[in-house]
Amino acid sequence: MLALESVTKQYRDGTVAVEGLSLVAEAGVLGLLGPNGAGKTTLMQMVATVSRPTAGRITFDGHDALREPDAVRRRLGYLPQDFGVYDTLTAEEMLTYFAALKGVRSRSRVHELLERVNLHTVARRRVGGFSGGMRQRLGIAQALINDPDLIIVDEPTAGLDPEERLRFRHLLGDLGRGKLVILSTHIVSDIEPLATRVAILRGGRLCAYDTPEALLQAARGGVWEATLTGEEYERLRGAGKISRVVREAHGVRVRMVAPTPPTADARSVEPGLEDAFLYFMAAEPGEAHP
Amino acid sequence: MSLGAVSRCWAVAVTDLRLRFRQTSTLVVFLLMSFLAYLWVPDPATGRAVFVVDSRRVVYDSSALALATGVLCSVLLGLFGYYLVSHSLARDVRTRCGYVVASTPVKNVEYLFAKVLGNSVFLAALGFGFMVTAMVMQLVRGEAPLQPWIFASQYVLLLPPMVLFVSAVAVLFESVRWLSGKLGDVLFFIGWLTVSGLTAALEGTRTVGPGSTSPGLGPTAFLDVSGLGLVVRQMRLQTGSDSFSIGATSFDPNLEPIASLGLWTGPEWVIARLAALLPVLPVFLLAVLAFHRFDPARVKGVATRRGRGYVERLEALVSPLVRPLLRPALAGVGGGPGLGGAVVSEAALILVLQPLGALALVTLAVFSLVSPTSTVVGGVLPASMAALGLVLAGAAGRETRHGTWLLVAAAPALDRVYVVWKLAAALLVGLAFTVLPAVRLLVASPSRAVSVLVGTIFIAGMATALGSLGGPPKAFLALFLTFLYVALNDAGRTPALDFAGFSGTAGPGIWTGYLLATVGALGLAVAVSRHRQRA
Repeated sequence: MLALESVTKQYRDGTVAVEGLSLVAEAGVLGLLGPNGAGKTTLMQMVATVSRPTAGRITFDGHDALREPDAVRRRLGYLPQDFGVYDTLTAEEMLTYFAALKGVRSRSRVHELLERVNLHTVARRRVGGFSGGMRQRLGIAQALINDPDLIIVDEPTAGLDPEERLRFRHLLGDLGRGKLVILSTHIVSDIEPLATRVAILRGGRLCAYDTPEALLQAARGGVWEATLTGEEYERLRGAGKISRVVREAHGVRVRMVAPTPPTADARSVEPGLEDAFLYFMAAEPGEAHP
Repeated sequence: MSLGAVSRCWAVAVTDLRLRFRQTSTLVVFLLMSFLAYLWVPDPATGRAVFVVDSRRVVYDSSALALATGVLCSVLLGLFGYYLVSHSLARDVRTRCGYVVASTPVKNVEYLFAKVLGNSVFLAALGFGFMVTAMVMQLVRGEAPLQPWIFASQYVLLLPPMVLFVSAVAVLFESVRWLSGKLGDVLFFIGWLTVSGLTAALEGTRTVGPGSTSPGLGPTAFLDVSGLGLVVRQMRLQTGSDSFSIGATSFDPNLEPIASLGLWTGPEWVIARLAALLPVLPVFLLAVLAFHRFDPARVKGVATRRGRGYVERLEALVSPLVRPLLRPALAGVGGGPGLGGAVVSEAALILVLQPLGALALVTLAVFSLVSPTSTVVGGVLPASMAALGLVLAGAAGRETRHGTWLLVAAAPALDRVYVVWKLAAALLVGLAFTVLPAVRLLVASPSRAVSVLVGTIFIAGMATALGSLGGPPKAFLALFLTFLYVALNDAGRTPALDFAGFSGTAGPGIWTGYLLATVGALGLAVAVSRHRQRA
């Protein structure tokens, strides 16, 4: 169990990246959603013991991440944002390196992981020639090499093509059984089929944390669909959060999040997770907590 | 140390070595060092020898050649070695592999120890390669049979303290944010020269008893990581003379050559060298204490957006003064359309990105105007050249390092004239630094003024060529600072070294030589740049 108690991170220039954040997470996939600059990466770095919180406490299965970081690290797998590679190493060498750092000495484990992420056929190739997707798969392989109980993956699908994204989603979905996977992204569709719980961050604060069903329930009644003329569309663009726009022959069909119907003929629709995310983003602080 | 710790250290060190030995630049460095070994050991028929005592040359046997080349190797590994190995942590920051390292159970002390080990083995391998080349030189120019054991013993006595010290200092400087950039590079250079010069000078003034062979372990032994103090002391003891030189030096061919004993390798001298290993320990401990463990709030580059180091704070203070002044130039105003505008814009960008360089420019300009000519020659001119080298280091390779090359490639025609564009901008900045000293010298010493302009072209051209060829800023800085140091210390004895009018001894032949060298380097850069574009 991961427990965060009033975790705050303030940088020396006064910027507060994360403020008073508390949550408890059990095994499953925890989706961390938020716009750029919401504090997702900083929060993940603190949980991954890379960065220290200015205040608050982080524990994993009773081990304090500040006082006993090695106890947490032994059970941790971390894939940072924009994970780079050592260009002149082969995939096997690179994975063996991280395996050694994590105390894994079994060569068969390295080969097993390479096979699991479908890189076994290129194990002896230098990673400098790998595509973005292959590098990310190597990244997830290093995160899994020590069979961790806590897996933290920061924006793992950024820059991947749709096929690679799907492959990655399946991989992360498989991991969520019996382990805690924290997956950060601003692409809601990456989380939708995976997350057992979703945390939404805005300005360093937690503005929602619940199951996807509960978040959808909270947004129910606040999502609308309407077909607008071009002028109406331009007028309404700033009035609410638009989640989808389809230009059609007779106008613009929009799906938007707003507390009241944006037009007289707008009809209420079932929210998706992206709508729920926009709903919480639009809500005033303290409002609309599920 | 547990088995797990050994395994982790081994993994870090081996990975570091794999990365280094797979770089093309390692081969280039090795070839360069081999070439220096060749130059360092001249054929005595030329009137110069590698080892001269009281104008008598020393016979080229294994002792003499090992001693002479070992000294050069120590100097090279000390000066260039730092710049070769001081990007190990930076690489982990850049690739973000450091974040993964930080999230593993590896201890700071293990990780840094492995980094020092990796650095040391790499430098030792370069030293070994250099020694083998020196042995080959004995086979080519030697006057006695090769004795590999004698050769190796001299190197083993001289090099380990330097190799370990430089490796540890590189890790320390990378661990301290404000030392991990250009400031650290310059401070290391100054510090190394000071400590090496000081130990050699102190040894030169110590009293040597007649017939004494004891090292008399003085305080200098603990500072003598380069081994220069040891060499000075032993040479004084062995020859009873204070007049000896190592390097390609002229000798009197009428005097009989003498045989050298080489360096004594008795236990007392080994103890002296072990004493020189001691400074490694505090440096390493400081590194462990200062290590950021890739905490984004403490790592340079990542941290500049958050907390700031001393240098960044200083730059932040100066920047608001510099940027408004350079804003029109940054937009290319005054350069006209096309390449002219791009040149002005690039020149302005060089200074905007280095506000302290811009501040130095203004300060030196003021001093150029108000100082007497002697101060301009002795102080302002060397300072201007040094500042220029620091400012231009890395400007030509900026696009590659920051991943903005494709933006340049997408700009109209800029990729085709990349080297010309960078050279013109570097010249513009160069002239901003040196035109006032040149004007001041024009009346008093016109030939010096010409030298200043030739020196400006030389620095701008070499910085552009090396950057365009993909060389890191550290490579240019190491070469440039060493060359500047040698030129200033030569004080006009060798006119060919007076590349910027420091002594006023250079003439048209030397100017032509520097200009031809610049053109050659730029030609190579253009050829490589075009080849890369075609590829």
